[in-house]
Amino acid sequence: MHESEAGREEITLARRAAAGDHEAFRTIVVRYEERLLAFLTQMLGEPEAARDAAQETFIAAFRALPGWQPPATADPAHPLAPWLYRIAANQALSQLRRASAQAGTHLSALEHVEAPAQQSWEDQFVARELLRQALSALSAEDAACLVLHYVTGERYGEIAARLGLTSEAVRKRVARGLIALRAAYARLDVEVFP
Amino acid sequence: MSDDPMHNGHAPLAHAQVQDMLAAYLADETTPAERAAIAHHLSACAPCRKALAEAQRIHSLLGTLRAAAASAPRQSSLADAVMQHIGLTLSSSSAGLARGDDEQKESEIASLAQFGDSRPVSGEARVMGESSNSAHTARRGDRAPRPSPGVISPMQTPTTSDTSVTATSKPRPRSAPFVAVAAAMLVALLAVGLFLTHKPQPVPTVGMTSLLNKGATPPAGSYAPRPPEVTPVPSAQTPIQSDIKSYSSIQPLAGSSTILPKNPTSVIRVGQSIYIVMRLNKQVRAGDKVSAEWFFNDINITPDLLRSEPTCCSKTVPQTGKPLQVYFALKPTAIGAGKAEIFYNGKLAYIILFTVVS
Repeated sequence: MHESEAGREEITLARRAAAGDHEAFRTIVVRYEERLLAFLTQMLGEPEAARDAAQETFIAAFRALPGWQPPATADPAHPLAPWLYRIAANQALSQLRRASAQAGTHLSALEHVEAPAQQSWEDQFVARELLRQALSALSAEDAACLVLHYVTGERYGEIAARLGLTSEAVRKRVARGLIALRAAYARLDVEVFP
Repeated sequence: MSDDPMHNGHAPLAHAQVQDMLAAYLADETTPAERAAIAHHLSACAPCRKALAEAQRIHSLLGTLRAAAASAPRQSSLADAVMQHIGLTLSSSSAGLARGDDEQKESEIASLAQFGDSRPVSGEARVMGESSNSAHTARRGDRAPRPSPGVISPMQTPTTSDTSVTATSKPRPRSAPFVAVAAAMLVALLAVGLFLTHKPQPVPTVGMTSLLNKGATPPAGSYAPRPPEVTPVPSAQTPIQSDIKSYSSIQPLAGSSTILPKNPTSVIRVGQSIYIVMRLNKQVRAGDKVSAEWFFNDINITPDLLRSEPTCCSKTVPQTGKPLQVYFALKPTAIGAGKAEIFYNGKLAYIILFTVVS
């Protein structure tokens, strides 16, 4: 498969950044920050936490770039994407585990006094708690597939291209994600039907 | 040709197979033959239909997070902060970092380099390396500047009105905290003055002025926090869960009415808010009332709070059988000792003690 021009440019940027070219790395940050922030916000629920995780992701990526090799399968226009998403997913899972250990409680979302739509915040509370519990039981790649499918709403093919996986691998990972979600749902002991 | 599995040679699916394929079925990511086989199984299997309904409900619930995240305000670029950090790290390295840090970085790079192998996996779980995460944990303090509360020592001066005090930095109760009350009176009055010109919303406040107007002389330490800081009243048997706790801050989620509690603590600083956060289980009934009575330096300040914030100290359960969470908040502008009594339908359920330090 021929790499697209954009993909070749990204590989060149990565090699320059790995050699210490800060401007090349800045270009990579600007190119990926928006999509990684969106992904991490959906994973963590808090924009501030997502920003932390994104920053840590880029710092870790800069240090690890000398060992990076272009993947054999990925979206040819975005060869860095699978690698960056995995680092980001690891950062987010690590944050979730630290938060759980510090809080020692399952509290993650609360009633707001001026809640404009009761159903909306209740659903969001349950959803955030479900996601937090399910993610805590998954690997980084399974977690990434779960978030990209159930929260971002991407098709299996899109996720496969983004993460450099096959569609079949994505299907298996999403299935594992649903099993973790259903286990979390049972633990929450909430009504299935209204 | 028919897709009916009974007519096209497909073997009937077992429960486990169907439940493994539910995600793909719901996402319309199955082949026509798989879809037919699953539909056939579902038509005769109540447990799998229930599992499908549950999966649909989960799918729908998680969709609510999509809207919340999409409405998050656009943030400024990370590039400057990242590049500043990288620049600082490089200059530190060239000046001679501690050997342990260098080794840590080498280990981190080795671990992350494995991610470069992006060959498709066969569907088996591949647990990603974690060493980079521990490295980041150790490094969190030297990140590029950002508006984050961070950990402060008990003697540091908060830089914002809601600077967080984490559990790890929680100062222990002083033997006689109220000796300092008189000495700090002037500071407290100044704090009240500031409050009058910059009224915080919606957390009600309590200051020394209102207490002095009542002729109060704070007694020494009657409510000073001492373990346990949360005392349950087991006989109350209410739907309030036992993980009720006080926090020094909360964070609203962008674009939603949801908030996150942060920094569990029973010691806050003047100008911070204290949030008593609780979960109610599904035993709740519509119309049930959860309320808080606030005491500060032995004075029941709830009537004063109600005058300024009528909704401050009582919540009504909206729906029977639906778990929910509730919080009450107070922003003291003077040092002292406080107590919150939490009632459920008038029954005292929990007593929570806290201290406000300068």
